[in-house]
Amino acid sequence: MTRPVDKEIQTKTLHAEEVDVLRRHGLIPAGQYLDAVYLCRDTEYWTRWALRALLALGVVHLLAGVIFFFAYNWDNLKPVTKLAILQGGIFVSVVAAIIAKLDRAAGQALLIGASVLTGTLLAVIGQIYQTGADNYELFAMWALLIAPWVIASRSAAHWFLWLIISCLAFSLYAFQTLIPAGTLSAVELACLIALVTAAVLAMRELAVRSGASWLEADWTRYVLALGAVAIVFVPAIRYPLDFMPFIEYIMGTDAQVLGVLTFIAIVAALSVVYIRVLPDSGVIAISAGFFAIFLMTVGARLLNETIGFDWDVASRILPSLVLLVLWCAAVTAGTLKSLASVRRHISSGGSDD
Amino acid sequence: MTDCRQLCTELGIDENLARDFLLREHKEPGSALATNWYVRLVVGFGAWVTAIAVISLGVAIISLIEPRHPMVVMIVLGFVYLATGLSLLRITSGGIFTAQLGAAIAAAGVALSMFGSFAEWSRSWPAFMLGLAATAIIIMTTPNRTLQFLAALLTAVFFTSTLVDSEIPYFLAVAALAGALGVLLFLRPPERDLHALGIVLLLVFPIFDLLYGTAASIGLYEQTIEAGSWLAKSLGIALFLSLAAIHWKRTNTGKVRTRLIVFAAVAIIVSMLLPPGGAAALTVMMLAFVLGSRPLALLGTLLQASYIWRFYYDMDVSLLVKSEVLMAAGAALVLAWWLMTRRSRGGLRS
Repeated sequence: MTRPVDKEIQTKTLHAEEVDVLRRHGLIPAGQYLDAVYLCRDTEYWTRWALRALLALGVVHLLAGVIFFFAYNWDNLKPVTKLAILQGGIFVSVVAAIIAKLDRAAGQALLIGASVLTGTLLAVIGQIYQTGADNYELFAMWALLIAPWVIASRSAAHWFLWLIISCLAFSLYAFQTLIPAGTLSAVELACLIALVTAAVLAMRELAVRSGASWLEADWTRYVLALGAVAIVFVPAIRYPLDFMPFIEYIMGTDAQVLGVLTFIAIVAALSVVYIRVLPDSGVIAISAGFFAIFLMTVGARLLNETIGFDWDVASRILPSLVLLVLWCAAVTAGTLKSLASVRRHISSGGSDD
Repeated sequence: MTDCRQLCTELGIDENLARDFLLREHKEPGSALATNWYVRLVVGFGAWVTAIAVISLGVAIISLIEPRHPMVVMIVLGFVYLATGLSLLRITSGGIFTAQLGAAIAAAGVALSMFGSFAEWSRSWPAFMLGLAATAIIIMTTPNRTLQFLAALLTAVFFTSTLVDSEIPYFLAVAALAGALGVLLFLRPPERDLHALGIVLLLVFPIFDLLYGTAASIGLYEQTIEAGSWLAKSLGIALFLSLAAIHWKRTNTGKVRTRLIVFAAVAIIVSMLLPPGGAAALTVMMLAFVLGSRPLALLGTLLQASYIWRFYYDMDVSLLVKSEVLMAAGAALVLAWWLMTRRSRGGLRS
């Protein structure tokens, strides 16, 4: 008897998830499971991943060790020795990076090392001379000093480090100067940083389109998308949850509609771009996930405005909570359905795995 | 990499049957093949938020009826929730909404019964035992991964709490044993889907480290019994070597095998140098490599980052000693990378 043959299943490269399905249905015995996994495994990808992970782990441990060492502030080490060690480390790292070549992982890792050591050097200078400078000055100086290396390295990880340091510098400046002076509120700061992150994501897409292959890795897109949505998420849900007692202790006193508007704008922009222009179900899952929880908080607010959450009155609290449960389940189910339909849409276009 | 036909030929399984199962699973909404792992993660968050609303409803009911033994009522209500949730999940024609509602209600039931028993007896082990029973019931009655994960995670939290408040000696080694069981579930999975449970078992050690390491570093918890740190490390190393042996068995080129020896030797040295959390994270990364699993690779990377962060606040040793340990481990890892890339200049394929 001939069975209907699905073209897609017949020609598709199998993954571990498909092996799991065959195992669950008893087609693959437990003893053969690993053989099946190894047949489906992309050996070349995982060998590359293992080598990069090994280098990254080594560098991260080494640099963490250096940071811990200077954080210890060892009395037996003279100030001049501390500065000499760090400056020597920076010099050796930069020279070694040039020798190892900047288009290779080793060269890029060495230059990232030099950038981290520069930050440590600035911290040690502050430790020795007690300059009384504000924290943001250290981070701003750090971002400024390493900028040429970041540009030269053409490494996504290095750019991320720089972006984090720059955002930290600006946030610290805002918290130490702008917010106390009333020039900026905490919500406005979060919106600004989220919009900057979204703008960096847009620049990343343009750069990749114009041939910057070193930015092509998926994680660069996902981290930026996650950052853009997550940074403005707390201000966004803070607004509808304003009715809750103790909320100001958890999420601060600042509740502004600006947070909601920025959040919706970023989620909408991501949805349009990553469904229609650059189909990617991963980014859609990130924005849909955050949006679903935002919708749940909006539902809670609406229930509070209509029926209310009065814990002493059964006729108010019980229907409110039952409706909230139904609303949350509906939102989760709706999100799952929408994501499945987006995935089908993307698969039919053949642009996303 | 391979396709369905080649896999079936290699393993001697019925290709038509395999294709039928895969097709059915691809079409079923909410199944592992119809949704990516990150979609399941999003749905998991949604289910948990819904469960919090269900828990609030339970608390509201109890506070309104004001029973004499509120915690006992909470346990009973928890099991009523669990039964209701599981019944909803068993309605095959219910659709996605019913499934989400069922998972949230059942998860809330597990949480209520566990917290109720913890509050009633002021001990962790009754809550752990209840969680264990509830997770077993869930595994036997539904293949829902979100619910299995949430129930197992709560049980794992009370398991770590039991290890501490019952003063179980060698508690770190016991926690590491859960990780070993998790690895086993990934390497020889049973026909019943225990994927979510496997992930939770891998997380037991980090949960332990996060909860009690943090509590100890801020002076909330004082360790009075033998932790079994070296035993945990030895277990981590044994697991790592087993995973390396699996890869060894399935590679046939001398170059890859030489690289594996270099890596295994360095990994053993690094695992001995680092605290057990670091060795556990390394094992998860090796498991990701062997299985070719991106979610596990992400989990291993996050565990590495969290353990270095936690290590800074560890009160047992000074920052100077910690820095020496980290620098030595880092130097060994970079040396291994250098040796391996030097050997593989001719190509990275195995």
